[in-house]
Amino acid sequence: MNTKASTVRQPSPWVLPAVLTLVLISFLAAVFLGIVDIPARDVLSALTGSGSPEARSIILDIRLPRIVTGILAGVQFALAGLLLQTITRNPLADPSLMGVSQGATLTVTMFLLFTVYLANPDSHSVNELPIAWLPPAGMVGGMIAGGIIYLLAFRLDLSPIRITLCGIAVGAVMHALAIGLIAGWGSARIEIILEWMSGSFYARTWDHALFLLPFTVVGFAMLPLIYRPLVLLRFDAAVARSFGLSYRRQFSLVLLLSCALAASAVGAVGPIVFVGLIVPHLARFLAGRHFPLVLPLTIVLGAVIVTLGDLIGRLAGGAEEIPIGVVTAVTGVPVLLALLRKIP
Amino acid sequence: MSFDFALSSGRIVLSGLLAACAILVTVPALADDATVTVTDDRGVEVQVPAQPKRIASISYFADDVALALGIKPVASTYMVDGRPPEFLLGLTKDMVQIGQRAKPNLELLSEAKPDLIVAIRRYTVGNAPQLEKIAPYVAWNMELLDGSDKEIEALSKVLGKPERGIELNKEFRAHLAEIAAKAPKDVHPRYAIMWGGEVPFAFHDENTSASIVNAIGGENIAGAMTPGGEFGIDLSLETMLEKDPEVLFIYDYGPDRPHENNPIWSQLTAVKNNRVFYVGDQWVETNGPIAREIMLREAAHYLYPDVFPKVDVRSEAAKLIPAEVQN
Amino acid sequence: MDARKSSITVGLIVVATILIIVAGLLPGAKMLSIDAVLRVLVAPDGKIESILVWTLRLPRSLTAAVAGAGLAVSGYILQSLTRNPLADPGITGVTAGAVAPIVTCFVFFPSISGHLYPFVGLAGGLAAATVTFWVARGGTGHPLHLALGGVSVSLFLGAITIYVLLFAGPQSTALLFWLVGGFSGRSWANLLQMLPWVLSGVLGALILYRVIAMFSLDDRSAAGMGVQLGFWKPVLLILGICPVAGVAPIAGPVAFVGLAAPHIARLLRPRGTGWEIGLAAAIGSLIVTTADLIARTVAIPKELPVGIITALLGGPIFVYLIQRGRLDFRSEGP
Repeated sequence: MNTKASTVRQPSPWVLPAVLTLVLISFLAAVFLGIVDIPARDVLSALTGSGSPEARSIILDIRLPRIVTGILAGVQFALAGLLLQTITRNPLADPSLMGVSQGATLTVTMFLLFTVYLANPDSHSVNELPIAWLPPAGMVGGMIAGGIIYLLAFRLDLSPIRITLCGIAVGAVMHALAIGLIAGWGSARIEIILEWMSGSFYARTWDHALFLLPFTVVGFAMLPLIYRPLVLLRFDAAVARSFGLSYRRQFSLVLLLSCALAASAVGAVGPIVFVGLIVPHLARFLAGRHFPLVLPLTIVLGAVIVTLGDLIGRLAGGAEEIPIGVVTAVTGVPVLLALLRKIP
Repeated sequence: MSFDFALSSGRIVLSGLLAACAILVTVPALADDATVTVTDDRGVEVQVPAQPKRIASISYFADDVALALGIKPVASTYMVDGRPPEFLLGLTKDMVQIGQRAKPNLELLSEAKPDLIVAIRRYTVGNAPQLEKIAPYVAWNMELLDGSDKEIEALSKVLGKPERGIELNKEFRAHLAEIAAKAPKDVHPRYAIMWGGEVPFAFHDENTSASIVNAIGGENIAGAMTPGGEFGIDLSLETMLEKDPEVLFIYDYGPDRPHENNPIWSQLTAVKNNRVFYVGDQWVETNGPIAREIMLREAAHYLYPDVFPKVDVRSEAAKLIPAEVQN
Repeated sequence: MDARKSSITVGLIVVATILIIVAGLLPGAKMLSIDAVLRVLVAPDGKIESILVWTLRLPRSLTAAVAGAGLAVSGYILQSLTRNPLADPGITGVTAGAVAPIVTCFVFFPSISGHLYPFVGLAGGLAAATVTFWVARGGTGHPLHLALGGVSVSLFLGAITIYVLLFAGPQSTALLFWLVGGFSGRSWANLLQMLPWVLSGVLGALILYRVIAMFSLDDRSAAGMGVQLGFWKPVLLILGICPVAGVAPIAGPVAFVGLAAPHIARLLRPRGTGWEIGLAAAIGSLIVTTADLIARTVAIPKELPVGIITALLGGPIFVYLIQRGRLDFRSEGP
């Protein structure tokens, strides 16, 4: 057995516990650290409901909801990335590379345009940005982008390379349109739209977390159902069919799931680039070729990366936080480059 | 409503009585401190402390009103980091700096322990639920001159000096009328108030600063707001050239001035006659009593330099801000 | 098409572009009559009509035409060099590479003169392209690698650009230009600033058209025909990036022209590589000039960003190309 296993690196049995510890540490760090220094004792008392009102407000109303929203979004991005990478057999698939994020951006922009400008006949009012409606609006756009990509690819018998290319193309068109709309009509509130576009957890509330929760739960619930197909979809169509897989149906199902996960997350926190791309690779790096371990590791690492990224952004930017999307883009690049070079 | 009536009648005793009644009616006995109700531009009735001690200002408006009333806010946003506005004598630099007005840092805001947040509506209303958790949150539009009087009156009332607010409004209207009367009647300089940049963004007539310049005889090239539209517009260069402003007020944002490189710049009458003025924060956050007084004087001088004297922003501000909060 | 037909096609497109430019002198915030335009074209005076024509409309349309030609040729060279039909200044990260450092200079180092921006852009564009091509093994690997590498590099630089814009705060309205591109207020000086970069790219491509044609074959055949790959690859890469380095500081990122124009040129099947390059340049000019005219006239007194028009124009072509299977992927499959 050893002779055979020596070529396939076995993951250390400590990987999963180690990563779980990491989740705990990053979560605690995110709760305890911030631009405002709160002594650990005060944080603890705030968590138990006592303590000073400022500490309670900062911990319970500001930090916790954004951390939880972030964790849910991070898990969803990572999972969506893993699913996309697996079924397109493209190690570089990612919601932001495949057009889903851009689709969500476009509908959010259009939504703002229509609600803020067209549904506002009163000449002296300046309407607010209906931020509570952004998540569902983004969700619709992401799903539309996914749908267009699927339809285009469907006619070509779902060749993975073309799906990816269609995704890039659709994403590029939608991105250009969204930016065009912003530049043409949104100039008086440009800071708000740009903040959303860069991917941000600023001022996220429990409502955002509650919006994401059902998607995360459904995503988790689907995992046992799609697990076997997913393993087989790693092979090309012919091989997968020879295992008795109804290739197209399963492919569509997984594609739909990953689009829903990514689109809802984009809707809630904006397009956070590279999380979906890099986290599955980190998971694979840790798990070796042991696919059953890749899945949980992806989920857990998604939470860790996003939590730490947001913590860095909160601490490093001073009064003006650095948006998480920028942090992940900047820190993700070295990983990305190494990755791209490694792929044969 | 009765409250407004009492104030406009100017009978302070009665207004005090009515205010007391209003408090009794609107606030059940469970609150420890006295509160008053303000209806802000969202249409929301906000319960605020009757005498707020720790004001947080998102935009400069609340800084402006509070300082004019002799109260120092505890936290403020900024337009340009590290450049406290001169028209407030740089006093905002001692307050907790909570970032830009579109994205005030919630943790720092919370740490400042405000008992009242007064914010510009269009940037903050999306995050109202979060702000409301920190302190009572009042959002005003802070865009138009009509709004300015109303907002100053309301905020002075909240800050416990209702009569001072009315006085400030009266004084300003009197000054405005005085300068308008003194201004030459035969000339109406075409002007624009704008943000610089590749494409200039100019304010429409209804905007506070443009309304003031209009009132003393200027003619705004950006014209009136379209119904349902924005308070300003991206003017294409052709429009600029065609309307050919004689005076340009450009918000001084920093050393970079890309608009000066555009080809029509040198063709504009304002540029040819050296009448381009880089103006301070009081021209874009004009709704406060100090900002609009100073801005009015500056505008008068820039439009009619022969009739009105040059304005020193700091010394004007020193007159308007009570000495006890100046240091 | 034979040589005569090819030259006629190029001629027709150039004439169409000129017509658009002339027609574009009429509309705007102030409509001018044909008489007035012809009068001031012949005899400029200091009046508003003359200023409109000579300092606003004519230079910006010409700048658009030159930029279009530059982007198209840049796309053509990159596509041939990588033998990848999807390569263009946008998708290889070159545009983003040019824009991000310029925006950074603009916000953080305003003391740097605007005249240096093409060099900043060139350095950034080259760096981004180097990374993309390094990742894609000189573009000879899987075509996906180039596309994905480039898009990733673009996303990365795009995130930086957006952060810098956010940092700039309320002024970002003015900086939005760097996200969409446009020709508002482009002057003769801008045109002159851009011209050498674009000319070097276009003329270089026309002179080297034989080498570029060789690159359409695979590496081994090209080497067999006597092309020194090690020498010509970097030369062509720089040649392909030069026009973008000139265009990006002046016009910002104008999307899809570099991708669509060469493909339309190829669909017309002119006589050879030389004509293809010329045709692509002409088509690029026509597209951008038209898009700019639309962008500045549909919403007077505002202007729309030109990028939204070119995206509407080029995007469907892109998707059509993929979908119709017109693209040849040598190494399709896992």
